[in-house]
Formats: sequence, structure tokens, C-alpha cells
Amino acid sequence: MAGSDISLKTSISLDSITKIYKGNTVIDHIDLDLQEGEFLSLLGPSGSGKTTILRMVAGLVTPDEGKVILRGEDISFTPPNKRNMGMVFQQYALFPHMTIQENVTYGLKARKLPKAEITERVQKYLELVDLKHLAGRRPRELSGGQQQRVSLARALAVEPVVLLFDEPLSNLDVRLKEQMLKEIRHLHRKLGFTAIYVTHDQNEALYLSDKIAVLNKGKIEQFSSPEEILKNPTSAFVADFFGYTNRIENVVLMDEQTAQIGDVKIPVGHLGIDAHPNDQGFLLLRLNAAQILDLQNQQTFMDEKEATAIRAEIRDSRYLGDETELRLHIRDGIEQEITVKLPQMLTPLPPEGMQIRFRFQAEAICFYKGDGRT
Amino acid sequence: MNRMQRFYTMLGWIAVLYMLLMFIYPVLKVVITSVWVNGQFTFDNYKTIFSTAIYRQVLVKTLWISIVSTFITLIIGYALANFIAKRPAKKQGFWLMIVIASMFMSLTVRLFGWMIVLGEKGPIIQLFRLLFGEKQELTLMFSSVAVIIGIVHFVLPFVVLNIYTTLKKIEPSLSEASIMLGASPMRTFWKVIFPLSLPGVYAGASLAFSLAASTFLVPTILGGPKDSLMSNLAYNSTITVGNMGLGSAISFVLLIIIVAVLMGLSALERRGHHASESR
Amino acid sequence: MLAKVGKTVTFIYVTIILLFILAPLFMILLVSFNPTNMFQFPPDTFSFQNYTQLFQDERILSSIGLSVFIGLVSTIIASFIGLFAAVGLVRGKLPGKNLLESLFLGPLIVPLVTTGIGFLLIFVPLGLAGSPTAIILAHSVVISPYIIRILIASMRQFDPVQEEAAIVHGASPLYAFATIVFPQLLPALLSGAILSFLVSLDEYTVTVFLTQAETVTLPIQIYQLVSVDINPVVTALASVMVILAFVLITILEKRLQIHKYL
Repeated sequence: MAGSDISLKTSISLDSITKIYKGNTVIDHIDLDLQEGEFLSLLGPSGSGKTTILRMVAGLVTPDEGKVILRGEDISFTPPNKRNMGMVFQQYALFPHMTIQENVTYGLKARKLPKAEITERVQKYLELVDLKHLAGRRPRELSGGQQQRVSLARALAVEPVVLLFDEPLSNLDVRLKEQMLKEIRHLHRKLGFTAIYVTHDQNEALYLSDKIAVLNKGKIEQFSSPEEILKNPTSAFVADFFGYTNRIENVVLMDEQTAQIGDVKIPVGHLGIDAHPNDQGFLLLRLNAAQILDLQNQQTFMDEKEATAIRAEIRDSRYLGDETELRLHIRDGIEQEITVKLPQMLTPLPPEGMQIRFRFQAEAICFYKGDGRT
Repeated sequence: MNRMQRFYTMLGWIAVLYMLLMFIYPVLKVVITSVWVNGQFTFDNYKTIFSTAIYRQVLVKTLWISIVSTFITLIIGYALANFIAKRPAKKQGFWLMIVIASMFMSLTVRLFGWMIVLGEKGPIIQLFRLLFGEKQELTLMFSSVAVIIGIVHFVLPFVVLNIYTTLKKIEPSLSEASIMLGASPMRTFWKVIFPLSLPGVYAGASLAFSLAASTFLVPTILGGPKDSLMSNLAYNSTITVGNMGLGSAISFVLLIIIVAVLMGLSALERRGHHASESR
Repeated sequence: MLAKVGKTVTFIYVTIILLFILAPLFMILLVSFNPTNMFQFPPDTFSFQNYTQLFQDERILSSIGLSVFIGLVSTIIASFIGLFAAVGLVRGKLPGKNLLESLFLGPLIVPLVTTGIGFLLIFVPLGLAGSPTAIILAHSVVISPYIIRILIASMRQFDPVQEEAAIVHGASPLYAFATIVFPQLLPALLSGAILSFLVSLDEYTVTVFLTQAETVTLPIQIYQLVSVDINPVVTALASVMVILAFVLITILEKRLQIHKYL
């Protein structure tokens, strides 16, 4: 890699790795490069292969094809205990018969480090995760959040070349999850470790990562920064994952900013790969894709000044915290349903059957070619 | 994790080899000795067993004593297991402890205790004399009755534990539901609890039969000369008479009987299972 | 009314069963204080003579020594076999695991006389018949199922992710086994070992095929003193064994709830 700056050096590379279980290709020729100090998330639904990739990096699974390269060295068949990795597990995987301190010490003892260094490091990392006062306790005496912090300290203490996270927060409740997210981000900023983080939660990935790799059926759908992925999801799969949950079928792309369905024109903010004018396709819309203009009970609106306004009927409405979610049946030649979320509490809650007029927000709408069913 | 698995596999093989050498090999040697007489392959030893009246009697006696003991043990074992399973959780520990303690308490010692209890000057006969006068004759020791009592005592804890474990696995909500639906406790027991506890009953029966049929010590201590069972016969043939071939054959017949009964019981259980599923 | 009758009936039959289980044990404790006739009920004298003589009886003491030695060594062997069998069966890659499980639990099903004759047949040509070595090896096989069953249950409860955590953080498989797996199996191993030890101490049927004048184990000695040359000292010995076994089992059940594994 070019550049002498350490922060630009490649830490880990996956070179066309492939894994086949009982005839099923669960990882299909994946390439990935991660720079030193970067935080990478592997995001995907269950069965997408994200955990298998992580386990291949850890050495718990060996690739059937391809190479895992760590700092220029092929480690594909290096045993896991020789790779100097750290890992935080979904089920914490703490050693129940050891104290918190002994858990954190474990990797250092296995490496036969000098006693003084062990003591120093254990103190340092217990302090970092704010668990020094619980050092003598056993894991089962701790809450889930505390246990996961022990797990984090245990992984950090070996000062790993890459820190691996296997859905570490999925067993925690919402509030603890928030807290742990902050803590992991804070530690990453502070210590600058290289990390690979497996999750199925796009919010975790967006919050923590420098890079996100979205996985689907053992392949990478998109690999880029969080901003880029949010703004410009290159495939319908990625868009769906990042909150583009509405779908409008049978659309033709007019030009790079407009799609048409019947007589209605819909502004388009982003285009999927290979999408060109005159392509047949579909739209994916975020929940904020509709800007409500007005609500009323009659079928017709008095002024017809807004040429781009679309009329719809409310089919269902509910509060979500301090937001309002509406299910709209779009008329005006589209005749499809979408769900939109308004950032305020509408009072009173608009009843079913109420008429509405809204405008599409281009930046929340993507066009994709084909029918997206492949 | 392949390396961890390889490590475990290797340890497993060591254990398998040990058992092959120290368990399968001796048993095979028994089979060979029973059919290999004076350098010739022959079924003579087996013919002797089935054609000699005394041996046939012992075989029949072993069977009926084992079957009777198994039934008695199942009945009182089920009652006790059901009683324990219904106790409040804290009191179950006490009962289980008694059951397990009697399981691992020296059998030699327990049978010695029965010698005193059933003996000529023991409490039962003393009480009997007190009630019916000195003239009444009652002998308990060195009889089939004593042997059955000893076997039941020996086998009971195993049966109780097996039935207790299956009873504990039955969802308490099932019997609650049955009672809520209007079934009497009696009907609930026979229609819900008992059928679900059958696996434990079968397991208990298998264990009871195999322990009873192969017992050596109980007839040795509590039985009379007429109460020898297959194991005693095998011992006498090998050690007292010195006929290794015949002793081996007798012990192998015993093994075959036990395995056959176990297979029969498990077939019966599977059939019952299918029947209840197709219903 | 009916419920009350039911309760009374339950009470009566449970009392009878309890009496049935405990009667022979109580009887031994009771007659152990009678040095004249151990088969006499109720005892006509009371003294500690049996107990004081117990510790002077050379034959009994040497039997105890021999049985404890055989028990300890055979339990150690059986513990290794049990540990290896359990990890191999639960986590190893062995062919025909169901069949192998039957192999390991087989000594519980095959009649003890069959195994006993078998041991006699293989040890005689080796010149080992009657030796403590033969009895130790035989016991190690007969008692191993008790350890194996407990360890299999315990190993099935163990979460393999802990091994992964150990290995990723730098432990070799052996180190991970020694520091993570083994310490967590230890309670089960210990209770299995104690039960096996008790079984070995009381093993009669297999031993009787292998015993000789120099190797009279405890149960064989007890049988001698009960049936052949009757000696009331045996009541004291039996009482001590009853109490010792009860204490051990109580500890095991309270600590580890061993009934779950039997």
C-alpha cells in the first residue's frame, strides 16, 4: 500500500475467501481491505455469512479458497491462538469459574507475559471499562452490560492486532445497548484499535463504523462509508436495510432525476447501479419520503396550484414515541400503499379515510432497475 | 475449533481402546470359552444347560424371581417416586438423599441388615410369635421370599430415580389444565400423568430386570440351597467345579436373556408410543 | 373427607416404604452395641465392645486397607477413562457415537458374573489372578459408567464458546482444556469419582472371581464374618460404613444434586 503513514497501512485483507458448508457456498469469493485503526462493520441478515467471515479472520474457521492476509502475511492456516486477535462474543463467553480479574488476565497468562506487565495491563483495561471495583467478583454476579464490558476488557488486554466483535450487543436491552455503543466508540477513538464488528443492526453499524460492508448470501452488496451508504445505496438490498422500506412498483426512469408511473412524476434522489433513462424498475422510499402539505376530509382539494403534489388517503395511523406513522394509499394513478413517518405528534391522530396531500422528497427516494426479485 | 475437536477425538479413542481391551475382550473370551471345548467348536455346554433338569430349574427360577421382583419394585417405586415428585421442592431433597444413599450404601451391609431383620430372632418373627403364639412356625431367611425382599431393596432406588426424573419433566401445567377442564385427580393421573411417565417406567423396568436377573450377592446371603440363581450357578461351575466352559455358557445365556428382555421392553415402549401418537 | 382419607393412606404407605428402606440399616446400628449375639432382637446387652475390637482385628483392618487402596487406584483409572470418554463422545468426532455410548455404559448391563468370568479368563494366563492389579483393573471397568454418565451430562451443559474465547485469546487446545474445561468438569468428576469409589468398596461379584487368600477385600471379609465364621465385630464395621456412606451422599446431593445424573 502506498504511503508511509502507519494509519494508512493495510491491516487485514481478505483475498477472494470462500467457504462451503455441505455443498452450500456460504462465503463466495469475498475481497475486503481494512486499514490500521479503521472500524469496519459487517452488516447483514442472519445467514448472510457475516459471522463466518469474522470467524475466518479469528481462525476459528479456515477458508476453502482464498487467503486471509494480516499485515502482508498470509495467516489463512495460522491457528487462532497464534494470530493475536481479541474477540467479544454475543453470549459474552466469560469463564464462569474465574473472577473478573482472572478473566481479563487470561489471554496474558496464556501468552506467558511477565507478571509485572500482566498486572499493569489488567489494571489499565479494567479501569478503562470502569470495572476495577468489581475485579474480585464472578461473572454471574454481574449484569449483562457489565459482563459485556468484562468481555471487552479481556479482548483489549491482549492488545490485539484486530479486535473482533460478534454481535456483542444483541443480548442487551435498548438502554444498555446505547450505553455500550457510546463506550465502544469512545474506546475506539481513544485507543485507535483496528476492529471488525458483526451486526444485523444498521444503527450500530452507522454509529460505530468508518466502513460498512453490507452482506447478502455470502457476497458483499456494498462496501463504503456510512454516509455514502445512507445517501447512495447501490442496490435495493442495501436500501432496504437502511430504511428504504417502501416500494413503488412499475416505474419508468425518465431522466436522472425523475421517474414516472402512469401520469405521475416522482423526483428521484439516487440511482442504483446500471440504471439509465427509459429503464423499467421500482422505487424504494424512506419513511421520510413524503412531505405532508395538508390534511382534510373532502375528496377534492380547493386549490390545484401544486403541480407536484400527490393525493392520498390515510388507511391507518399511530404514534411511535413522539412521531406519527401513517399508512397512505396513494391515488393519482399510482394506487399503491406506502408508510411514512412524520417527525412530530399530529394531534388529534388523523382518522382513517382522511385525505392528504404530500410532496415526494427526492433525497429519500431511490430508483432501481428490474423487479428486484432476483 | 478443529484442533480442539481433534484433541477430544484423540482422548475419546484412548477410552474406546481401554474399554475394548478391558471390557469387550473379556466378554468375548467368555463367549469363546463357552463354545471351544478341548480345541473343538461345540455347543455342548449350551446343550447341557437346556437338557439338564437342575439347570433348567435355575433358569426358570431366575426368570420368575426377576419378574416378580421387577413388578413389586415398579409398584412401590412408582408410588414413592410420585410421592416425592409432589413434595414441595425443598422437601424433595431429603427424600432423594435417602433414595441415593440407599443406592450407594454397601449392598453387603444392607443384606446383612436383612439377615437380622428376617432372622430367627429378628423383629418380624418375634412379633409373629407374640401375635400367634410360640407354636406357629414361620421361617423367612434362606427362602425365595427373602431373596425377593433383598432384590427389591437393592433395585428400588434405581427405579425410583428413573421414574422420579420423568415425572419431574412433565409440565405441571398439563395436570392443572386437565383439572381445569373438569377431570378428577384420579382421571388426570391415569389419562395424563401416567402415560407421560411411561418412559421412566420402562427405563426403571429394564434396569430392575437386568439387576435382578444378574444378582449374585442377594441369593448368596439371603437364599437357601434351592434359591441359587443363574449367577450363582455360573460361579459354582467355574470356581467350585472348575468347568470354565460351562460357567461361561451359563453366564452368557444370562447375558442373552437380559439383552433380549431389554430389547423386548424397548420395542414395547416404541409400540406404545406409536399407538398413543396415532390415537 | 375423601381427601383426608387419601392423605392418611399416602402417609401410611410412604411410612411403610421408608421403613422398608431404612429397617436393615437401623437394625445394624442397633445390634452393633450388642457384643454377644448379633442376630438377637431386641439386643440383650449394651456395650461399645464391637467398636473397640474393630480397630484391633488384623483381618478387618487389612481388608479395609486393601479395599481403600484398590478403590482409590481403580477410581483414578476410571476417572481418566470417564473424562476421555465423555469429552470424546460429546465433543469429539467418533464414529457410531450411540454404539460407543452403549460400550461405555455396557458394564452396567452385562451381568457382573459374565465380566467376572471374563476377567478371570484373561488374567489367569497373565499370572495376575488373585493379584490386586487384576482387581484394580476389573474394578476400573465396572465402576467407570458411574463417572462417564455424570461427566457426559456435565459436558453437554458446557458451552463450547468458552473454548473459542480461550483459544482466540491465545490459549493452545491443551491449555484451554486444562484451564477452562477441566476446572468446570471437576465438580462432576469428583462426585462421579466418589460414587465410583463407593461402588468399588462394595464390589463383590466380580471380585469374588479374582480374590485369593492374600486379597480379601472388604465386602468379601464382611461376607465371611456374617455367614461363615460369625463375628459380631462386623456389626461395628457395617455401622461405620453406613454412617460414612450417608455423610458422603448427603454432601454430594446437597452440593451437586447428583440425583440429576444418575
